[in-house]
Amino acid sequence: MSEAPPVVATDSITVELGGRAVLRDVSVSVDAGEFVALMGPNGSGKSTLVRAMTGLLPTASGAVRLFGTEIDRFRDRSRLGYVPQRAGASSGVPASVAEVVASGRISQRRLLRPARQADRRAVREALEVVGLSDRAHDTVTALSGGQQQRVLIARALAAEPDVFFLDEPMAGVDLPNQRALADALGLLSQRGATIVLVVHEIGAVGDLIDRCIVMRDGRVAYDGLPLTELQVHAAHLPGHLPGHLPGQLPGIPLAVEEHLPHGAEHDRHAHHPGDEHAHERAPHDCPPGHSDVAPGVVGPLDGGEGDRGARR
Amino acid sequence: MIDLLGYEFMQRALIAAIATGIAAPVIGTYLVQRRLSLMGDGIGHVAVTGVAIGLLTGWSPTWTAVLVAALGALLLEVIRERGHTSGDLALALLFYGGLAAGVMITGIAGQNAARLQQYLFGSLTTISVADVWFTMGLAAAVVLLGLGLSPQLFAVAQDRDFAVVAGLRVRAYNMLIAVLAAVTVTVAMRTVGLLLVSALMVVPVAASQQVARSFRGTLLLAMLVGLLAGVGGLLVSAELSFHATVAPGPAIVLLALAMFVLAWPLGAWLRRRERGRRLSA
Ligand SMILES: Nc1ncnc2c1ncn2[C@@H]1O[C@H](COP(=O)(O)OP(=O)(O)OP(=O)(O)O)[C@@H](O)[C@H]1O
Ligand SMILES: [Mg+2]
Repeated sequence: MSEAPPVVATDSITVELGGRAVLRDVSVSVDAGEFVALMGPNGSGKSTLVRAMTGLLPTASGAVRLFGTEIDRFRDRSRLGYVPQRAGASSGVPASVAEVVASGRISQRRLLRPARQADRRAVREALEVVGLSDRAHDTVTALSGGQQQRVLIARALAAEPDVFFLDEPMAGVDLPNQRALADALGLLSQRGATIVLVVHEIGAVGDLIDRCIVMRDGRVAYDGLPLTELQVHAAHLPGHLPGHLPGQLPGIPLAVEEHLPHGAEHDRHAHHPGDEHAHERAPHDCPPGHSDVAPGVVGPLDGGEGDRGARR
Repeated sequence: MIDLLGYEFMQRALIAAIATGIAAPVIGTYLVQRRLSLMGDGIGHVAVTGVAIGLLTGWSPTWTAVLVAALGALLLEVIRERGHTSGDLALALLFYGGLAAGVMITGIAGQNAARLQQYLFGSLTTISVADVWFTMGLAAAVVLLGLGLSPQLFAVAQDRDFAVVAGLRVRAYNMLIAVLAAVTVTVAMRTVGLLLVSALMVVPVAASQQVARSFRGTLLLAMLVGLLAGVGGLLVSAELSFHATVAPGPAIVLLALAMFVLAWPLGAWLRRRERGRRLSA
C-alpha cells in the first residue's frame, strides 16, 4: 500500500433524496492511478454515489474525502474532472464546441483575466484527444448525441485533472466511438490519471479496468476484481448484500455465500434476452483464474435484469 | 436630423439610448441562456412599484426603482432556487404584484397617470443631466461585469453541476445576474420604458443568435443590434414627434424586431450553406 491518501474515499455515507435514503452506508475508496468501473442496474445509486463523491450532493451521514481532505474543505477543484450522465438542459443561446470545452478550464482561470496560453493549449489538446478538433467552431447543438458526449469529456479533460468521474459516457455512443473513447481513457490512465467510470456494459473498457464496484439498491454489492457481465448481473441480485469490509483487498469478492457451478449459472440466464452477448464474452472478459469468484446466484431475477433487456 | 441633435435634451437622450442599447443585450444574453427571457419583464413590472414609491416619498424614482427591482430579482432567484414554485409561476406573481402595487401607490401619491407613463414607455424630454450620468455609470458597470465575468457566467448557466464541481460559487453568480438584470431594467427605464425593457434585453439576442455560432459571437452581435436599435429608434421617434407623440421605447423595440426579421432568413441561409459545405467536404 502506498503512503498517499486515497484519491477519493467515502466513509459509510448515507445520501437522502426526497426524504428517502438513496445511498446507505456506502464505503468505497479509490487509490491513485486506479481505473474503477462502477456498475449496477438503473436506480441502484451509481450517479448518486458519483455526485456525492464530487460534492454535488450533501451526505446525511458519513464523510467524503478527496485526496485526504474533507470534501467541504477541498479547494483544489481543478484536480476533479466530472462528466455528468446527461448534458444539462440545452442552453438558450448557441455555444461553440471550443467554448464549452474552454469552460472546463474555469477553475484555473483568474477573475477578470483573459485566457492564458496554457488554457488555449489544454483546450486544443482535449479536442484532439476526443477527435473533434475540426468541429471546434461549430455550435454544440449541431453535433450528434455521441459527439456531444465527447465534447463533455473534452471539457473534463481540459482541466487536466488527476481524477475523472465519468457517468455513463458511453451511453448512446456507437461501437467504433466507444472504442475511441476507451482508447482515450486508456491513455489517460496510462498517464497516471485515476478513473471512476460508470458503465452498463464492460465491453469496450474490459481490458482497462482494475476493479469493479457493483451497486445494488443503494449499497455496495461487490467490490473487487473485474467481473464478467454475467457476474455483474449475479452480483446485483438479492441475497448478496455484503457489509463492505473496510480495507478489503481488491480481487476478493465481498460476499460469496453460495457457489453455483458455472453450468447452472448459465442455464439460469439462458432464457433471458440480451444475455447472449455476456454469455459469449464471459470467458474473454474474465481474468484467467478468477472466473469462479463471482457471487452465486440466489433468488429470482430482479427488475434490474428487465431494464437491461429493455435497453437493447 | 442634425438640427434635432442640436437640442440638449436630444443629446442627453442619445447618450442614454447608446448606453442602454449596449448594456441591455449583455444581460439579455445571460437571461436567454438560462431560459429566463421573461425575467426582465418581471423585474420591469416590479420596478413600477419602485418608481411609485419614489413618487410617493419624493425620493428619486430612479433609485427607488433600482432598489425595489433588485430586491424583486433576488426574491425571484431564491424562489427559483428553492424550487417551491416553478420559475415561470414565480415570475407571473411578480408581474402582477409589481404592476398592481405600482399603479395603486401612484394613485395614493396623487400623481396623475402621465407621470407614471414616462416610466412605463420611456420619455425623451425628461432625461436630466443627473439621469445621464447615472445611466452611463450603471451601463458601464453592467458591460464590464457582463463581459469580464463571461467565462464564469457562461459556465454556471451552461452546466450548473459542472460549475459546482469546478468550485464556482454558482449561487453568487446567479444572484449577480439577477441584480445586474435589475440594474439594466432601471437603466433602460428612461429610454424604452419599463414595459418594453425586456424587449431591448432579449430581442437583440434573438436576432444575433440567428447568425452567430458561438456564445461570444451572439453576445457581441446582440450589443451591436441593441446599439443600432437604440440610436435608430430614438431618431425615428424624434423625427415623428413633429407630427405626433411617439415615445422612443416602442420605436426602439420595433426596430430591434425588424432586425430579427431580417436576421432570420439570413441565418437559415447561412446554416444551409454550412451543411452543404460539410456534406461536400
Ligand atoms: N432528485 C431525486 N429525488 C428523489 N429521488 C431520487 C432523485 N434522484 C434520484 N433519485 C432516486 O435515487 C435512486 C438512485 O438514482 P441514481 O440516479 O443514482 O441511479 P443510477 O444507478 O445512476 O441509475 P441509472 O443507471 O439509471 O443512471 C433511484 O431510485 C432514484 O429514483
Ligand atoms: Mg445514473
